Amino acid sequence: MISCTLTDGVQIATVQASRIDAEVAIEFKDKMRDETSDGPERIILDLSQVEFVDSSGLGAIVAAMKQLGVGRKLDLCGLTQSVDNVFRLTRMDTVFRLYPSIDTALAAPAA
Amino acid sequence: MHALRCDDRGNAPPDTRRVSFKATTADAREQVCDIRDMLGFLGVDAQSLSSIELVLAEVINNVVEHAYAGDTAGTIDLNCELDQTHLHIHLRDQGKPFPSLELPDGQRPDVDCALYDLPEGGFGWFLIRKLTTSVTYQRVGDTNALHLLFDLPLQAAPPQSDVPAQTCLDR
Repeated sequence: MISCTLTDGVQIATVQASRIDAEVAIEFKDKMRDETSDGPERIILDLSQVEFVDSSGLGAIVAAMKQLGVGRKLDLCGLTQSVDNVFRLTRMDTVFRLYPSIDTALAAPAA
Repeated sequence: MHALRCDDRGNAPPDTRRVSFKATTADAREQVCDIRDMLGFLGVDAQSLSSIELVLAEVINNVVEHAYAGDTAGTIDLNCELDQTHLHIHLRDQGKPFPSLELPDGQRPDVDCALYDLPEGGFGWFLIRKLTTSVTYQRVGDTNALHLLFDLPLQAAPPQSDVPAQTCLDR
């Protein structure tokens, strides 16, 4: 469901499922915990393959961010239109940094 | 599936679809996708489809998780009625009623707080209320009956919330 690579000291976690919804929210959280329990300060979650996120999925992404612990950051990239809408409606776009692509996310200056 | 047909006076009867399915997250996902595809085929615009899909997922998940509290033997009945300007969705289940027989008011959870205080839940009813024209509930005997109305095409939901936010416990 999630594959990870390391680029320039940043962990890129690519979600390979098209939906983060009630059916897979727990699996997503667990996999994110496994992939990010150790590792760089900055993780970029690539959502470019994700077409649908509901409130369960949103909660799972928030949980994944909290799981990182103090001093580590979860940024998001590649949000599709409908996923972007969910983040904006809930104001979660004020909580996470959202980038159009991996390249723009990597090019952004450190917080 | 068939497109809307007009009678001699140019009036199209509504397209309807009725389904019954088990209260599992897998069935929920399948039905949400099927209904979205059907509505798309019948000509509902992409932006409305996106909102409808999200609301359907939220209300059905709510039945699975709360009304049936994970009892996957429960049955959910869904009836969709689409005409030129409205989509009606009727959802019925035999699960637990809403507390006080009332729908949650769906205030937007406050996210302007410390990261570790961020809510992970509570967004569902905010999204449902935001993206529907109306949502109403009745308890009839041992049945929950939810009615969702969408005026089509749906207005684009503005990014600014006009619902006051609940406050977080701590900042």
